[in-house]
Order: sequence, then C-alpha cells, then structure tokens
Amino acid sequence: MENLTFQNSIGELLRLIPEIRDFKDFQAIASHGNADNQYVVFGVFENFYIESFQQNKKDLIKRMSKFLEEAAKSKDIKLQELAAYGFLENLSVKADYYGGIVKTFGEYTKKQLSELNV
Amino acid sequence: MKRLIIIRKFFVFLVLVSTFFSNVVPAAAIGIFSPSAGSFTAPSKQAIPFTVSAPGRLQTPLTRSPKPTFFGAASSELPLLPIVTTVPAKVVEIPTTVSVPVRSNVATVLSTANNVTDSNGGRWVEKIIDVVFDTTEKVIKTGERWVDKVVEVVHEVPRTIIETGTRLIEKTVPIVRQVVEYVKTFVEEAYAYPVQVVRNVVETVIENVREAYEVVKQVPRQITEWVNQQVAVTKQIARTVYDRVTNYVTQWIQETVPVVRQVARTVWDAVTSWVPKQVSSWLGKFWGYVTQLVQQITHVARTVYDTITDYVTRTVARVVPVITSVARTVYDTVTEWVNRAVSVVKTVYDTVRETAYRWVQKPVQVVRQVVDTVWQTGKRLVEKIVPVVRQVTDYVTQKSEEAYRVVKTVYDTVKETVIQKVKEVYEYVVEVPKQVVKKIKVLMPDASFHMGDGSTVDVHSSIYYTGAITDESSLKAIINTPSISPIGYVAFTAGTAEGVLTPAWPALPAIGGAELAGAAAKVGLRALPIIGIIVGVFWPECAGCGEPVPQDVSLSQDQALPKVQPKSVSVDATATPQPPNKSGDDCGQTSVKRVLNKPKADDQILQKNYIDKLFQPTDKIPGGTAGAIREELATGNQVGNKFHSLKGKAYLKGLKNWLNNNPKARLSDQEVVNDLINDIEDALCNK
Repeated sequence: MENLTFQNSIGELLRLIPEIRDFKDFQAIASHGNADNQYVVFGVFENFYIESFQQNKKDLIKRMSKFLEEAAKSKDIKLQELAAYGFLENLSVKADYYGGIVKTFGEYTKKQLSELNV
Repeated sequence: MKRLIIIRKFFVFLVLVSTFFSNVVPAAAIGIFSPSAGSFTAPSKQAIPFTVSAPGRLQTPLTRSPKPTFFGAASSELPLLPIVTTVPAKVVEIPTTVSVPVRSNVATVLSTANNVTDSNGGRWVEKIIDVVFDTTEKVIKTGERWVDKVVEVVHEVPRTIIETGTRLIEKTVPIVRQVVEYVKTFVEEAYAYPVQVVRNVVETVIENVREAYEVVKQVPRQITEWVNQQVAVTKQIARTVYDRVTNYVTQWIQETVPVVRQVARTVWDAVTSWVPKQVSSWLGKFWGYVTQLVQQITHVARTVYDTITDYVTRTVARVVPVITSVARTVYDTVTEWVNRAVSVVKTVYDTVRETAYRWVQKPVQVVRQVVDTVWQTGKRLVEKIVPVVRQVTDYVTQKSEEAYRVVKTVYDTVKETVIQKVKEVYEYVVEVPKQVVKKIKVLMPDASFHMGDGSTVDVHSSIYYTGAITDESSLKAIINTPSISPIGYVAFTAGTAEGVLTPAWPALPAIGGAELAGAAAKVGLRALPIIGIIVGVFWPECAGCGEPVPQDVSLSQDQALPKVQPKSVSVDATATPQPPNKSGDDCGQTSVKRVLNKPKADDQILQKNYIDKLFQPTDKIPGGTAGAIREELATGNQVGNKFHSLKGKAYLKGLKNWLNNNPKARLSDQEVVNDLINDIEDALCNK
C-alpha cells in the first residue's frame, strides 16, 4: 500500500477494493458528483463494509479492515478524522452486526472507535 | 452613484461642522489633528451636558398565543406547540432626557454610554436592562405558568381516565354482581326443583317398594306357617293312627299270645298226662305242629304289624314329602313372585331414577351452558377490553410524556432563549462599547473633498484599518494611518463636537430586533455619520446602515430618542436559541433553522448516504454533525485531536452536489437538504 493520506485515500480505496465501484451506493454518489468527496465515499465504504460482512465475504472484509486500519493509524490527522467521523462514527452501536464487525477491525481502528464512544 | 453623492454630502457636512467649530470654538478648546503633521492634540475634557428628549413610552406589546388544545376531536396527534410567548403589555417609561458628559475621543465616548442618565438620574442602560429582565422574568413566569398548566392538564388526563375507569368499574361491578347473583339464583332454583322432584319420587318409590317388600315378605311366612301347621296336623293324625294301630296290634298280640300260650300249655299238659309215651312221640309231633302253628301265627301277627307299620310309615313318608313339597312350592312360588316384584320395583326405581336424572341433567346442562356462555363472553369481553384499556393507558401515558417533553423543551428553549437574549442584550448594552474598542473596522466611503487646511483628500471604500481603539494612542494609530487620515480627522473633529457623538451610543446595543437596530443605526447616523458607518460594519443587519444621511440633520440638545418597540418573542419549538454570529461577514445574515433531529427523506440514497451519516443514533449532542461542530467550537472539546468540521464541510459540499444533480427531486427532499446545508453552513460559519 502506498503511503496513505487524506488526499489519496479515495484512489487507494478504489485500487485496493475495486469491488466498491460496482456497489450501487457508490454509483449513486458518483452520479451526484461526489466520487471525489472523501467523507461521502467513506460513508459508502462503511455501507459496503457492513453489507460484505453480512454476506460473510471474508477475503473482502480482510482487505477492507486492513485499509481501514492503515487510515486509523495514519499520521495524517485529516485521514484519522476521516476514518473516525467518516466511517467509525456512523456505525450504529445498536445494530446486530456491530459486535461482529468490530471484531474484524485492527488494533488502531478499535482504539479510535473506543475513543469515539467515550 | 447615489451613495457616492450622499457620502460626499456627508463629508461636506462634516467639513462644514468642523469649519463651524473651527470658527466658533476657540482652537485651544478643540483638539486639532493635522494629517500632514501626523500629530494629535487632545481636546479639552470639559464636559458640556446636553439633554435629549425621548418620545415618551416604550411599549412591549407581546401578545400571547391561544392556549393549545390537546387531544382535539379532529386529530389525536399532539399539535406542534405554537409558542408565541407573550408578556402582558407593559408601559415602560423611557428616560425623557439624557445628560451626557461629552468627551472628546471615541474611546471615552464609548464608555460614556453607561453613564447616560435620564432626568431622574437613572441610567438608561440600566433601564433597558431592567426592562429586559422584567420582560424576561414575565416571559419565564408566563412560560412556567403555561408549563404548569400543561403539566397539570397532562397529569389531569390520566387521572380523569383513571377516575372515569373507576367510576365505570364502580358502576359495572354491581351490575355484574347482580347478573352473577341472578344467574346463581336461577341455577340454584333450576337445580333445586328437579332435585326435589326426584328426591320426592325416589322417596315415594322407596316407600312403596319397602311396603311391597314387607307385604310380599309376609306372604311366604304365612304360607309356610300354614303349611307347617297342616304338616303338623297331618303328622299328628298319622302318628295317632300309627299309635292306635300299634297299640291295638300290640294289645291284641299281648292279649292273644298268653291266651294261645295258655291254651297250648293246657293242651300240652292234658295231652302229656293223658297220652302214653308213644303217644308222646305223636304228641311231640303235634307239639311241633302247634309250635309251628304258633310260630306261623306270630309270624302273621308280626307280618300284620309290620305291614301296618310299614303302611303307616309309607303313608306318612308319602304324605310328608307331598306336604313338604307343597309348602316348598308355595314358598318358592312366593319367593319367585317376591323376587319378580322386587326386580320390577327395582326396574321401576332405576327407570324413575334415570328419568329423573336425565330430567335434572338437562336443565343442569342448560344452566351450565348458560354459565359457560356468560363466563366465556365475560372473558372475551375482558380480553378485548384489557388490551384496549392498556392501549389507551399506554397512549395517554405516551402522549402525556410527549406533551410534557414538548412543553419542557419549549419551556427550556424559551427560558434558554430569553436568558440568552438577555445576556446578549446586556452584552450589547454594556459590553459592546468595550468590544467596539477591541476590534474596529473603519469603512471608508469614496469621497474627495477639501479639508479645512486647504488640502484635498481622496477617500476610498475599503477597509483600511482593523484594530483596537482603546485609548487616544490607538485612535492616533488609526488617524495616523495615511490612507485613512481624513476620516481620522473627521472623527477627531466630530469627537470634539460635544454632544454629537454620545447620544448615539445608547442606541448601539441593537440586538433585540431589526427595529431597534434600525433605530439605533438611524440615531447613530443622525448623530454622526461615522458612527453610522461603524454601526453598519458591526451590525450589518441594522436597517439604517448605508442609508442616505440627511445633510440638514444635526443633533440638538433636545434630540429625541427613538421609539423602541421590541418584537414579540417567537420561539420555534423545534429550534434552539440562535447565538449571534460575532465574526465573519456572511454569518448570521438570516435566521437559520437548526436541524436537531435526523430528518426523513423519500430518496433512500439521500437518506442512507448523506442524512444518516450526519446523524447518529448515539449522538450525545442534538443536531448531528452540525451540533457536534457547534459544541466543539463552543467548548473546545474534541476527540483525539480531531474535529467534525472537515466532515461538515465535506457533507456540505456533498449535499450541494446532490441538490445540483437532483433538480427533479421531491420538494420535501430538497427542503430537507437545504435545511441541512444552511444548518451546517451556520455551524461552520462560527468557526
């Protein structure tokens, strides 16, 4: 993985998780002209993560978890914010999948999530 | 162009004023600033009191909205509470005269705002604060009364329902009890009657059977006795016959045998004595013959005896079985007859019993069916009523809670808003002058005119200076700025125009409403155009900003204060108080509706990918991302060195893109997006 930054986060996401291009939400936000909007794309990424988890796509989840972990442990504060508020914050604690999804996260991602929930 | 002309007129006016003062007031008494020299001479600090006449009364006609009606017939929904809180009209005396110690520099002028007094020596600012606090208190009290009323209503509703339910139960229970009693009585009566009938029948039957049994039981006994009697008689006869025959035979034998023996013996003796020996053999033979004869006679007699005895015995033996057989036959017949009678009686008894039982069972079954039906009906009724009652109770409880929450929210909002407004007013009334001197932007209108010293000054409409005017030296700094020195000159000159500037300042705290602000600006402009300009910069919402300045207006000592008419306080129950934007030229231009709760859109893509991302179910602060931004800005609290503002900006852009790319979207969705955009913009605006 290239050095992940806020600026190149979308490009890296699409490169590492090309399946997201076919995700209908991604296509929808792209049609709105928001395919270059990091937060909106990360919001879609979160939807895609949840759906993949529910469909038990283990390999895909592994890649996505790794990408998220990279973002969470990045030194780029903006990227950290993106992971926190663009992805993790949107996870509903009350959802059935919450516990399962959290287990797929890496160390830094879990740390960020716990900071958000304080 | 028009503005330019006005500005020019304004400066001409200022020049005239300065010229007037230059001519009339001794130069020593007036501070003179020379732009070319860049020096500043402080004016005399002698205060020249002057008075300003107020128009009279300040009215606060706050009207109260009609009391909302809950649980209306047309709709079960709670209405949105139209809180147009109203304070009863109050007439507040406005200070009729204001005595102002005139100072000769802006900073001093600003600070004198607090010293403006009415003819009674009361501070005008305090009056305003009093009015505001009084109004606030009344609003809060009105709100409290209103909330109390609503809470009372909210409490009253379940109480009324409970009381109604209790009354209903109190009415229903006796009826149900009566019905139960009736059914019970009916069942008991219905049950008792056939039971009694059966009991009577059974008792009668038993009685009859017993009597019959007794009668029947007597028959064989009597017959047996009779038969036994007859048998005994027969036996007696037979025995008598037997005895008589036996006695007769015995007696005859006893009587005959001795005679025969005597005869035989006599004969024997005679023969023996009379007949010789030879004859004796013959006699022996004869004796043998006689003995044989006797033996034969004995044998005959015995045979007769035996025959008679046998005959009697056989007769008796023959008669006794017959008699016994007759008695047994009679007994058996009677027994059979009795058994038959008993069997018939039993059958009759069983038939009667079964018939009676069936007869009793039928009404009992009917009664049981009636009771079951009543029970089942009651049970179904209860099963139907209980959930309805529970639903009603839950609904009422829920609605009460909702109403209470809404009222509470409204009350809190009103309270918060009022307090906030009061704080703001206070701040503007008391603190604004301080703020003004902390940061000031001087807008230079385009103008070109000749100064008193004969030089020509060009003025441009742009901001030349941003800084604090805290004292004379800072004012000097402004004035010494070459590009704005003319206005500094004007300011200075105006500042020396005692009684001109000061009255404007009490009007500066123009936050309470457009009218007030407008009035303030107007006064400011009338007082001195530069004040109007400053006001225009600091209170861009003021109505008087940029208005043409009448050239012939000058502040006289009896200059009237404007009428101040605060608007009625209107609070949107769904909104929170709007803090004023204190920086940023584009912030707070209009009142922004805050989106506190997650809105619902028809477009699911919009909902899922935009709106849902801005609002989390676990949000601790209302208002979603915009609320978080505001909170972070207000408190400085953050999470892991991270803020929400980037997210806010990103979604702001995203929502705008959505709006631009969905021109045919439903109007309601567009409205939602617009509200969100405005809300986020407003939140970011304070950054």
